[in-house]
Amino acid sequence: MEAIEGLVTGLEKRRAEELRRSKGEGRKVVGYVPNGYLPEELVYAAGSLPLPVGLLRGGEHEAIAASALYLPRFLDTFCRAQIGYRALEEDFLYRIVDSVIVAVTDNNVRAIADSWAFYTGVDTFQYGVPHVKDDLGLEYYLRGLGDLQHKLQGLTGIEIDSDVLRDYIELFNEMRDLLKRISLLRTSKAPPVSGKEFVRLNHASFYAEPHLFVQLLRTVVEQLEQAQATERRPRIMLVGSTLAQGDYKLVDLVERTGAAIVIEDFSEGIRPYWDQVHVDGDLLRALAEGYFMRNPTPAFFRPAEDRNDSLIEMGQTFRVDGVIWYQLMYRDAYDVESYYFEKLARDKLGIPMLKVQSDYDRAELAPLTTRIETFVETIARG
Amino acid sequence: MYTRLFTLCGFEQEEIQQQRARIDKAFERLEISPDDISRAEERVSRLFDVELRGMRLILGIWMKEFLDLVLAKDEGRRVIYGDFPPIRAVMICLANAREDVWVGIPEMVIDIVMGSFFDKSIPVLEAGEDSGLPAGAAHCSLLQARLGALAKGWVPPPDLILSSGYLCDQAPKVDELIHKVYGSPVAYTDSFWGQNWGDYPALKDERVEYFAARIDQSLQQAEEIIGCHITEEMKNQANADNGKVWFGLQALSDYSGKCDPQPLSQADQAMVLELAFGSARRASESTKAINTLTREVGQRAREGKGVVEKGAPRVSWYGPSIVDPELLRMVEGLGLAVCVVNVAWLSPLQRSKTKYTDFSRKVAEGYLREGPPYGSEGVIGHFKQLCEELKPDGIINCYPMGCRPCTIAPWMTRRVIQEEFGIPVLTFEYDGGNKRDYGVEQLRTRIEAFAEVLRAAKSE
Repeated sequence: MEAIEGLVTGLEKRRAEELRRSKGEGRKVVGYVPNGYLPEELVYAAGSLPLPVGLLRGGEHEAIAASALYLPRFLDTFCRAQIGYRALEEDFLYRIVDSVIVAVTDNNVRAIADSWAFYTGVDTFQYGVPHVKDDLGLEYYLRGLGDLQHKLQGLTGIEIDSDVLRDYIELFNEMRDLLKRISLLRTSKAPPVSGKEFVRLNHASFYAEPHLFVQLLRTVVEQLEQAQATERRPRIMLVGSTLAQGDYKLVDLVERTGAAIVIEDFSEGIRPYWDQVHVDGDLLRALAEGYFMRNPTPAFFRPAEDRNDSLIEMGQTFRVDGVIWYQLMYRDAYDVESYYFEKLARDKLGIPMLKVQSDYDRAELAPLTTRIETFVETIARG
Repeated sequence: MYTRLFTLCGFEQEEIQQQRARIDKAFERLEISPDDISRAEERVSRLFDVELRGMRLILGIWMKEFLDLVLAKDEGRRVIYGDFPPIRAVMICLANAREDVWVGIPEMVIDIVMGSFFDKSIPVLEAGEDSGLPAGAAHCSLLQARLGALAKGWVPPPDLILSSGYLCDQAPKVDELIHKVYGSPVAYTDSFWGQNWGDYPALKDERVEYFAARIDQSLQQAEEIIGCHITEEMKNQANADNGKVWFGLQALSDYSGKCDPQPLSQADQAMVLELAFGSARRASESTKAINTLTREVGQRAREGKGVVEKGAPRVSWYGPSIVDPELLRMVEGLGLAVCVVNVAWLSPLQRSKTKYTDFSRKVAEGYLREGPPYGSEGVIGHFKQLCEELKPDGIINCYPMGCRPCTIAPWMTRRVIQEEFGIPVLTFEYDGGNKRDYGVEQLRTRIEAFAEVLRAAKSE
């Protein structure tokens, strides 16, 4: 659907203009790491300010090169890139943030918060995400959200109103539901939406004004549900730690080669949309339950049985023919998991897995092309 | 065949005779040849100060741990593995509770004996690389050694893993992999980050509370495995045992930190440091050995004997290589006194009294209050206190590149130390558990130049 590409490009431009205007009016802008553990509902409910802007960009080696002055190279590629983009001073969004909020899931994400705090002078706020999904973990995540609420109220000077918060939760629930409906359309034999289009829409969910975005998503869903596609392609599940905005080389390559990415799972860059947040009782607790207890968890959670089961179930639901594991350098939890997930995919789904690594280097493209083409050709032959 | 080697490691003749069958069995399993034994004899006598009885006893403790670990299942022991850096007091609780349980960090034992003694650590790393931690991805070499030792059958699959999660993400993930391959149950002792920049030195209570609750859970899981209840008295005893080794290490380190010339090589002290980290058994034997060594080193200090020249520039070194004592010997050979190893030094903050009274919270707070477990400010704060108290002439920040928590703050630390203290800092990455990732000669060139800078500064 060409319309989706045009839609998200329009949203990007519009958001940039809004932010420029808001900044000019003296409004504060809050940046955050889009890893699914910061409920944006809270941020919006803290008043019309601050405006969440995802530190979402990736895929370019310039940012990695620029980061070398601030962080050693032995950290995750995407996480290093975040201080790199700030240092490059080219991206408007990385320049205008007044505050950065980081839900810390692992040491690599912590490096984003610490490097911004130490080098940029930008106010940073971090709260920890426990790694065991049980009642104890939930309670401490909830305490983190309480600290976050306090921080946001301090930033804006506005007490969060529960009715406003409920409205935003409902709005984001609809956004999640619409994304889920679009995603599930890919269970059909010939998906009416490409992997790239879905990823672009999902990325837009991090920066677009949510009311407008939901409105547009409704139209997209309507159109897609009526769309007819016929082409049967090899179906790919894409898994990894981060799929950043701009880091589309793998997605493009896979789809150019003739395969269809029908489902993806990433810790950063893909908004979780499978579960809803209930709006009964204490809303902060509801947010904690919705965001912390969701499935699938990222690979940093332990034990990984839940996560592995969810990924296998996804593979079955979306009838995938192969898994491509997109490994960014030095993201240990994913690297270790890839070792045994290959066997799981083979044993439980009867499909092969290809692992590719990236440090956002253009030189990767040629060998990557060969490997992807070979993999897709292999699974196409069945 | 190996009598001399074990004698160098403090064994008496009678003890060697008694242990012969066990030694033969363990050496056969690990394919230790007569050539390997000759090499180990040469290395142990050259790289460690075996003139000192205390040093021989400490090397001997590592040899005993090695035999006990390799033969644990053959001899009917339950096996519990901790992760590096361990919650040592918890491991001591379990070790004290049952003699027929082997509790410890297997990769530390393997690295010290097969690496530092036999110079034969590469095959186990290669096996680890083939078993889930591939080369070229800056994985933790300790964890590669753990996986490799299991894959090669050098160490038995554990009955329980006390998995970390309070420092890194890699260790619990590797433990999960071990669970999938060998079926070993895992107790995840989780923690979370979340100190804000500017918090330091304050530690969030909720981090202590959460970590303490997870420690309790892990301890309960371990109790079920060993079939023994851990009483409060046993916990207190374990804390005391842990403290004795750490305070013994501090007393020993004081001689290096404050005496000129430095009376004992850091290559030797590394063996004591690793005891404080990785050995949970033989607590009283360890304390006695350290006390013996400290007395001997004290005598040397009084006599003005040293391993470097008097007046040598004094530097700190981040963490010793666990497989390669040659590295620190080389640094000292260049005329630098390594007055302190960061990871062995307890800062005033770490030595200060805790506000907590119960075992788990005390342990949790002790662990989280500084260094990488606290966060980047904790790392910088530890360096600053070290500079204030020990006033080194230079800092060698050789951070372990396979350790994600240790790779965040090196550049930040350099800036702070140089700006606030005017102390020269040499920063480089290396992997102290993987000799293939650095070259002693290559590092010699860099450290030699740094030593010249320090000597010139000192003479001004």
